[in-house]
Amino acid sequence: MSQFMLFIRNGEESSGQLSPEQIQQAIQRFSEWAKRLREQGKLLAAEKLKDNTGLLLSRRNGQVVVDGPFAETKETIGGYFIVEVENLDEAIEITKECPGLSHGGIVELREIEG
Amino acid sequence: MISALTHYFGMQNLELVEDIVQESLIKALQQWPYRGIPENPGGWLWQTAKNHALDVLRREARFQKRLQGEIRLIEMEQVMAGSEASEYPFEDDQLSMMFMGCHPALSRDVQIAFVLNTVSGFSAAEIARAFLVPEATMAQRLVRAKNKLRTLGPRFEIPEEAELAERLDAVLDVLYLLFNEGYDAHIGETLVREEICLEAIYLCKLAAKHVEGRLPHVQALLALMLLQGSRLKARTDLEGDLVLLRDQDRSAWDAGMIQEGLYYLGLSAEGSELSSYHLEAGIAAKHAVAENYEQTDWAGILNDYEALLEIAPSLVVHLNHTVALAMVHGSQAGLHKLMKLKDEPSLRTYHLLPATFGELYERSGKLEQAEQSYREALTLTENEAEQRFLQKKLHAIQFAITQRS
Repeated sequence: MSQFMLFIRNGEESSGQLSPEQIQQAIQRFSEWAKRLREQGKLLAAEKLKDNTGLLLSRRNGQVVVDGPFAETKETIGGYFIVEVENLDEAIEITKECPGLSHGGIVELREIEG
Repeated sequence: MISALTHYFGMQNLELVEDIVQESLIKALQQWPYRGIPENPGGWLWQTAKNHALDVLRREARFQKRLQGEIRLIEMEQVMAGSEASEYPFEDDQLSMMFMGCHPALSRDVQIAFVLNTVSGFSAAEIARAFLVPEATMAQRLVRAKNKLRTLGPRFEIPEEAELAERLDAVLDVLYLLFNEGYDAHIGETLVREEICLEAIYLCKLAAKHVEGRLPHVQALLALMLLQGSRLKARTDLEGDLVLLRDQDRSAWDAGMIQEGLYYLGLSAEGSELSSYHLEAGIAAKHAVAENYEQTDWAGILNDYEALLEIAPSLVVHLNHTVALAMVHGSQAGLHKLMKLKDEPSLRTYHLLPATFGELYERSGKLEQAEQSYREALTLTENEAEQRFLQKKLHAIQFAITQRS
């Protein structure tokens, strides 16, 4: 068994381009996806990250530079899921079905080194 | 949810409401997949939207006058907070509140107060003034009602089919009593009482418009209220004293309400059902279209009262039947019926019985007996407006007696 982390980057639903009906459908699909993983015992953790709080820290010319918080929600990670599955193939299958991919969302899949 | 929020914040804020709903949904989308769908998703959305709306409203001074709506929301929230199993329905919210408030565990008095307070937004003080009870008493009554509903955890929606018909009848009963509380001009503040009448009409209209409420007896009740309500302005004089139907200025009756009432009465006649509301609305309609008191269709009204006596006999119906009887067959016929009613134990302390006696004796020229009856009626009521009314009658009779001798 291997553990994987799914970083969810928000899609265009954040910029209010969807109708209330479309959002409701998205909620439904996304919640069902997570529920299924939970029921199968594959979901180890899931957290939403607080909105508009991301900071980028770096060192430039010996100085720590703080960048952010990001205004552009599209770039930010909205939350993460940690799943425990057989192998990378299964993790990819699960990620493909993740409704976070629809409406321009991006999911970054990373294996956690055991 | 849009309709619910729009109802509280007004159509002029529709755009704001749409934005808020959108934002709440997005919040749900960003949160629920991680944490799971909350146990009460409707409540969660409502709470989120409401908090957001209140934030916006607080910021924008131009919504100040909508504070009333805000108060109402907070009230509703308090009721909802306790019942976790409940789910806030986003449509027909007032109707649902009404159905909840008419829960059989509450007494009629409490149901009426609850509906006025929570559904219609009347304050405890206003309701207390209308019902002539101390404000603290009314406030306590409302708190008890809300606590009770909380412990019962009633479903916050229109009940399922089997229960629906029963609950609908309770709702109609409450609306009918509500209207009558407002209509009986003898107690409380006129202004508030008129508002109560209009509110009862409004709520009944909601029920009649709802798909489950498009029933003949609902339409009949609505017709009844509109036809009676058309006389609201004419039934008190400048001093706030009661003006009898016979003496009312018919040009002051609200023609629009009469028209609307007749329309719903027509609708209500489409089924085979004949409820007491149908009969009472029929009577009110006959009064509404009459040129004057004498030229009213009294024979038709008498028929209606006779039918009403069969399905819903009450003291008031008996007395009104007597009046109709006297108009059709003469005062003697009326007096004859009253004599039979007199021995009814429940009527013994009812001031309207001797008052009706007085009226009929007066009409048949038996002035001494009329005087005695009015005196008797006076001892049976403590209500000032009614006492003033009976005093006036008594003085007129006494004057007539001195003129005659």
